[in-house]
Amino acid sequence: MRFNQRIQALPILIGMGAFLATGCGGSQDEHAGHDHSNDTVVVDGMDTDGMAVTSRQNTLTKIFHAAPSPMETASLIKRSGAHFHADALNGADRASEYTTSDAQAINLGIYGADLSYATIFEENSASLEYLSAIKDLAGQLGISDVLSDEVMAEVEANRNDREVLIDIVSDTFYALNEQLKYNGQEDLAGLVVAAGWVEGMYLATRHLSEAPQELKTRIAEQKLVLNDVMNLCGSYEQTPALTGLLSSMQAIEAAYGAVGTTEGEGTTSREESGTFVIGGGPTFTADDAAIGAIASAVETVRNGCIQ
Amino acid sequence: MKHTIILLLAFGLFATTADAQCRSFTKKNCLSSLDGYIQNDNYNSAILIPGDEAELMLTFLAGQDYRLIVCGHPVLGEIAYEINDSRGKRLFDSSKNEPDVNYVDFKVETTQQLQIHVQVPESKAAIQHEGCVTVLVGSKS
Repeated sequence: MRFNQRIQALPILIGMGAFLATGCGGSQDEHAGHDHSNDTVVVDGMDTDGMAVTSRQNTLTKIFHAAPSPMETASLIKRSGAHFHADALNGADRASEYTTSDAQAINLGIYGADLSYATIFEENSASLEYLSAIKDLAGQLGISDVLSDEVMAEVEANRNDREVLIDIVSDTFYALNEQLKYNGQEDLAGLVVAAGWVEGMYLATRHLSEAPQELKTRIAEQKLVLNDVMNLCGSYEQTPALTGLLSSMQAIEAAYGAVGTTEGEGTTSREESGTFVIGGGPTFTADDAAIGAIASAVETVRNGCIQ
Repeated sequence: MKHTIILLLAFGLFATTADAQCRSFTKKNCLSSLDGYIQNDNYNSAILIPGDEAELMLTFLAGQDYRLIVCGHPVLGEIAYEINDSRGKRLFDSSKNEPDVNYVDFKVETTQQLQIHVQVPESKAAIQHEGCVTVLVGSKS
């Protein structure tokens, strides 16, 4: 997480101030001023509903970062008319080869994208294999809670229900991201996100000779998503592994330089269903050479990730 | 030096506990509003006070239906949010377009980056509260 420059030092002061104000291990009675109800419990200043009296005086602007999930990428690959290519996946049986936390996080991202791809294409037996591999890697990273035995049993019971599997996969990767951040392992969360995007792009760019034009357009549009991923991962503490992966992805950024963008005026309308429709925005153009160069750069980075 | 270490440890404990409370708040109060949507993998939650702002820049893909949820503790009042395009043009304003709910359903005709701008209302109360604010994005195709 990154705060604006003007308030970078503020959270530490606020945190210390708030802590000193509430005291270490104080009882609930010491937190006068909380308008919490009787059924809530105050823990170190904040009640279980996520509220407390603040000691902070100055306002701040919190900058959040995010990127589309591998499930969204897999979904757009399928919608564009592409076929499933099992030979493009990183073998689920390779999970035990990844023995460092960095390699485990990177391949958690790789397997997450493979799992999303298999699930969207209803390759359910493959989905189960990848979930099992992800459970192993998550366990080695100390976040096995995200794929408990109960969740695995639910997967098994719904192995032929694509929608349930999609829900479980997306819930799992949300929980994984949340848990890594909570554990102070944002760098590993960054590796998962970056590697997941690379693998999603790797899967999208296989067999380009038979790819429909729509898929090529979707690949070109990923220029924006790459920007999201780089900003998100750049906001985390830079470890050698994360820096190395982001540096290698600069070759992909360079290849995306050949993608042309034309901006359109943004508009908003509303459908009868109540859904807002945002029109305008950019259009992207890329010739086959540009798409080929992107595919080549992605392949190089991806092959480095799964070593 | 010793006091500095104690203060840093104390802050670490406070921050961890507060973060845990926001995780709990999000699970309890926000995630259910995404039923029917695939939630984005990124967990974005923070403790904000009256007058604070938050921003999120994210690419939205053509062909997907999205739900954006800005979920804040009621003690912070009605949190306003806007959707702006990458050039800063305001495309949606919750206070005008959807004043009664904390989410908006939308789709984009072309894949584009949008900026979500969140504003916690000012408060003149003598005792100022801080509360969790979570921004969630879900999609379905």
